[in-house]
Amino acid sequence: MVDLLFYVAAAVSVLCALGVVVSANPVQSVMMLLGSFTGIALIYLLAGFQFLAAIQILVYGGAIMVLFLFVVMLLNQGDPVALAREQGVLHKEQLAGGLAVAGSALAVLLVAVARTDLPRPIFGYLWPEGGLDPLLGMAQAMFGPYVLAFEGASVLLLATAVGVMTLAKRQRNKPVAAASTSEEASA
Amino acid sequence: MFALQDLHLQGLSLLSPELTLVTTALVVLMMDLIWKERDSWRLGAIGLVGLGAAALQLVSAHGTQGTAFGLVSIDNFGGFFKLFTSAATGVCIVFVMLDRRERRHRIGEYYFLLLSAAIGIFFMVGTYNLLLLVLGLELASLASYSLAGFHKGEKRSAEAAMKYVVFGGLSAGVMVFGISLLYAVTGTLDMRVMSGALAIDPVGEGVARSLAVALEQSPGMVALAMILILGGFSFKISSAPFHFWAPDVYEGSPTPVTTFLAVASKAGGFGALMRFFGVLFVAPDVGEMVAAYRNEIGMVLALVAAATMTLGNLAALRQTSLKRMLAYSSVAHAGYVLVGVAAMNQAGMEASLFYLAAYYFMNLGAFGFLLYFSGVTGRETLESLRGMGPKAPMITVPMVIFLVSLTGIPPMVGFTGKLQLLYAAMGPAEGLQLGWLAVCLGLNSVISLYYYMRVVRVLFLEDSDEPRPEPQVPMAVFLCLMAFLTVWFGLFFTPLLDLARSGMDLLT
Repeated sequence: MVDLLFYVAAAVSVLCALGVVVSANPVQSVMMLLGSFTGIALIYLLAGFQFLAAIQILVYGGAIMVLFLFVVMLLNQGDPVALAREQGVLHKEQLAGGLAVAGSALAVLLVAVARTDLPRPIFGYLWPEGGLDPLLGMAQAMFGPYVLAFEGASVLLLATAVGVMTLAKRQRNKPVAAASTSEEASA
Repeated sequence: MFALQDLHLQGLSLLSPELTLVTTALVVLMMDLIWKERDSWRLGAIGLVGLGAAALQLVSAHGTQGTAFGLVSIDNFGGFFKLFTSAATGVCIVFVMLDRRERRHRIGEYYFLLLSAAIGIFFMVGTYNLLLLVLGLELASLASYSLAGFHKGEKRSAEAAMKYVVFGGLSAGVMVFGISLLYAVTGTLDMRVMSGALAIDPVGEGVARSLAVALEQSPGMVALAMILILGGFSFKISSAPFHFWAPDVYEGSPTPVTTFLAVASKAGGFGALMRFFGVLFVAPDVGEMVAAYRNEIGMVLALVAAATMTLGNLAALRQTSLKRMLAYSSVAHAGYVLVGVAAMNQAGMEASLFYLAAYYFMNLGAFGFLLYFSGVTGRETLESLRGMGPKAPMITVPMVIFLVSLTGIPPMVGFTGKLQLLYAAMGPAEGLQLGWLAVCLGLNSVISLYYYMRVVRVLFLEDSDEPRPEPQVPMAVFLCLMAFLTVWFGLFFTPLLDLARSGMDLLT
């Protein structure tokens, strides 16, 4: 039963991820992404990480997804004709090439998995009687042995925030004339 | 079980260079808000002081062995790369301070992001734990993505940032996938536990299996994991087949950022790669099974090295832009350094460290030259350099020295480095045949002679009636210093050799 659920969840997340890339409508892409996140949340749940599953739904499925929708709806999506032309760029040969690469990668992975002597079934054995207490365990790992990585992540987030703000903010009262092209680019 | 009292200040004092850099970065960011100067040299000075303090701490900690928080390992090998990174980041900050065009941009954020990337590299090269390695790699990458697009108005810069993000995201995904597979078969993220050097995982729990056991039980999975992880490293060091981003990103980024990517970021990638493969395969007490596997990994690395240097040099032949040519040359040099790693023994790793040290002097010099000339003439083509040689000898003569050294002609430090790489390829680990790689290295040096010397020819043997370029004293002093060191360490290379050798405490 658990195995079956896993395959369903995995199929949903992979197919939805594919849908994000191929769908022509950005809003549709965002909705597909939501499906993919939900599938991953289910996989977390099956592995015994209830807290991660809940966070995945709350943060990614909720907050981040709403932001994506806002961005897609508020921003100018560009000329529909140009968009259609962009999407026509992928020729048959390119599609075939991409599929060949992806297919061979999948084949290699399948062979590797088949020749692997990992404990089976994949799920269940991780799951102690009465379920894990994932929140306590996670907190202990995060603020115990991995506290340095946790603090390092804060530097990473700060650097990312500063970087994004620098790139996104428009330049006001430009001092040098050479920056006039930047107005066009950022507009 | 991990207890709170383990979190003693001892671990923190071992991390003092990292903490210094974090503090410096935050001070720069705050002072930028307080001073509100667009053209501030004071911020750059703060950054330099912080980097200098970190470098001093690193030098005084030379020889110290220890582990902080079970994650960061303090050793000479990491110290070498941290010192390299601080020195290279310092030069990049000086470049920003010297370049009028760079200072138009948000200078506080500029320095902050450079320092953040340096912190990321510090974590990347100083850890046995794959989690922290990925975190450091991402910190360095994310800061570099924004730096690559720092010239917001310019199309090329925006394109560079975009390409860098897409390639970087893809290769980080590939690498993390590989690490997750490795975790699945070994049950640990610590390289020393995988290699069997440590019996108990300092941070993890549960049963861990060594790589030798994993190789026996699931060879396919280990092979796949190794290839995927190598892919992630390949992106960082811009080696084939993950080098396609490098020329475009290097060309589009602001020149000080290009310098950072080509020198500090690349060395950081090598530090992580050498620690990973060194600990897992080259360390003396690896089992018989792993030793046999080592030669296969060595062969893969040798193929990557040969492909990288050949592709880089052949593409560099056709370039008309000096910046793009230096970008391809930097790709080729990644291939040279990989030769030492592919030898899969201590001598090879030493040669790689030595060559990286040599690379520091000659490449920073070459990029300084590029920065000066693109600042004076506003162009980056070879054409714009025509006849400039006699007009600015304090700038162009050092450049000739750098180019000669990059080719690998005696008596420059580049020659000494290449000689050691050749020795490494002639005497690799037992059972590995890399003679062909030595031949390939020699042939590639000959190819590279052509395009490096073309710059010299344009500079000195061609004439133009362009006016004498406006002199810039600090840059001339910097270039002369770098040129002096390039020659000095080519003749008296023992200090560099000792430094490289002391970094080999990785393998004990």
